[in-house]
Amino acid sequence: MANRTDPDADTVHGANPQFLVDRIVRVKIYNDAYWKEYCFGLTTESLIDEAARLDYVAGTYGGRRRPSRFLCLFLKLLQIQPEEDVVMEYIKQPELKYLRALGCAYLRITARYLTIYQTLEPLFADYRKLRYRDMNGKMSIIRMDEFVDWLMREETICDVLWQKLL
Amino acid sequence: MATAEYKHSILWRGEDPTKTRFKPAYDGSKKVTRYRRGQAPEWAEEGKKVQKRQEKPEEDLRKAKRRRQAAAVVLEADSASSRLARLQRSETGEERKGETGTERLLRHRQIEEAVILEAEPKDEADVTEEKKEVLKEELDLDLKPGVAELSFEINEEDEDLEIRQLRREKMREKALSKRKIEEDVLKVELEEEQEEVAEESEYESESEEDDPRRGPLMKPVFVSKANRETVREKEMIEKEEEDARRKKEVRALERKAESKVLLIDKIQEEAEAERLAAEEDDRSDIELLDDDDEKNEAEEYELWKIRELKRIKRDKEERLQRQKEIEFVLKRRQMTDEERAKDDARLDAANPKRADVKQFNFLQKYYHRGGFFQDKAASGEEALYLRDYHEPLEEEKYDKNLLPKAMQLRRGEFGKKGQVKHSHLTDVDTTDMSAAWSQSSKVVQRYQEKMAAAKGVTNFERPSMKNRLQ
Repeated sequence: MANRTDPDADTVHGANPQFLVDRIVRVKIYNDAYWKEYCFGLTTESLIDEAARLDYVAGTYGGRRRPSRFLCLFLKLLQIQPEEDVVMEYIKQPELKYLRALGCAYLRITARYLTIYQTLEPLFADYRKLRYRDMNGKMSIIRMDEFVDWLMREETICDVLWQKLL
Repeated sequence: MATAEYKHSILWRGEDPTKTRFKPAYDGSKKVTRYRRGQAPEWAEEGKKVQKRQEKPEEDLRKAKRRRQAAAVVLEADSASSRLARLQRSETGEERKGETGTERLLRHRQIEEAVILEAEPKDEADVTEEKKEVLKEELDLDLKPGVAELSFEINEEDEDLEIRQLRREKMREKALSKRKIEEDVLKVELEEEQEEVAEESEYESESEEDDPRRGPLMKPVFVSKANRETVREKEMIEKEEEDARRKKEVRALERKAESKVLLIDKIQEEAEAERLAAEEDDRSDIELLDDDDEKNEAEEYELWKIRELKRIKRDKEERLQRQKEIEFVLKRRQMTDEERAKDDARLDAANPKRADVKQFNFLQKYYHRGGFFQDKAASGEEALYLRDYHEPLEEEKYDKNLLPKAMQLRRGEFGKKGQVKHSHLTDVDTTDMSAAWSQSSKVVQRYQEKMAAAKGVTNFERPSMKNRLQ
């Protein structure tokens, strides 16, 4: 019940926006403690607070492929489907870089290609440090522009399959 | 003659026993020598006196008497030196009335004066040294329990009275000490032996009789059980053993308790570690790297520049590539067939289709490359794919026809249970080909034809007049 997409939400790429995340990963997120405790009943405003507490960007990691908080919030965004303005605001704000990264990811997966190009390309100028945790659990430092570059080019980041941009 | 008396007649009935003289079977004149254990036979007793048996006990008594008489005679004859005579003389005391002390001493004791053979001039120091040596020699106490032999070594070289006196003193001391030791030993022995006997007095006399040279021993005294040292020693040993046992037990208990405590600690530690791991707070399980952006701004900027430039370069190259492709496609569309063929040839030459197909040896194993990652194989990224997997191995290089039939297999096939190199059915055909009907000779063929009434089956010639006549 709590995992249903907002009934007012539009379809994204012709399907339930939550289905953009693979079923296996999705189930993992649903069973996660963080999801159950903190991501329940999040709104766009409370999401900002949660995003402020983010520590690193990651998909699933570790032996049992534990979903990261970033990924949980990402799915939450897909679930509540905020409006584009809101997402833009997420990206534009300069203070919380992890929120910005989150916004970028969401935009990349849901928005139209033109919007993506127009919004994400200026972000190449942002060279702030982000903590990244790879699949093995190892922490490393990446830069925001690198992250955006990945979003634009790679097929799989953070265990989510992105359609290739034209 | 057929009479009963005639010995050789048929009517002879044997001799009349009453008429013959009786001869006993036992002949006493012959002496039979019997062998008895332990006794040597007669012929061996050469050196022995066989006369003993012949003597009678009466003779023995007579002999003893004679002996005694002879002894008595001997005694009386030698009166001067015999004890008895001496005693007799001393009782009377005739000869010794006007005797002085010295004369008496002279009578008793013969003092031999030391005779000097050689006299060497000695220094005082040497003399003292000699004395010392002598003393040292005599102080060598022989602590063996046994006969206390006092060795009187009369060195004719030492004429000093002093030395002699010293020596005598030393000997006396030696004797005393030896006696003491012996006494102690005997005491111990006696105590051990006589734990049950209350009193004894026989030992005294016995020991005295044994060896008159032994000094007087301590009289063995009975020691009651309470005072006996041996018993006490035993008790002490037992006590010690018990103590040791008790200590051991105590220690074992302590160790048990210790190990228990250790185990508990360890279990607690493990539980804690598990709990910490189970909590798996996102922040706690890993050290977060520094996220600060204000550090090294200049360096960051430089790095960013590099990245940016690389990206730009990459984009350009991609665009170029795309451009080229489009151009090529357009160009090719405009080509004629011949040109296309030429172009194909050119391209083929540029990209050889595949490396030359290797010639395989007999029974060389073929290794399949696999269908995945062939783009990497083609591009040469992965070094593994650049290897040639159809190089023959050492075992594949030689002729396998030399091996027995069972071993003529590919690499890795030999020795496996159920390995059957299936070639073809005729290989395993076991029909016996020596039967007459299975051999393909002309006779058989003719016969078969005849039986099948197929006379002219294989004759493909046209019927002609020539053959017909025959």
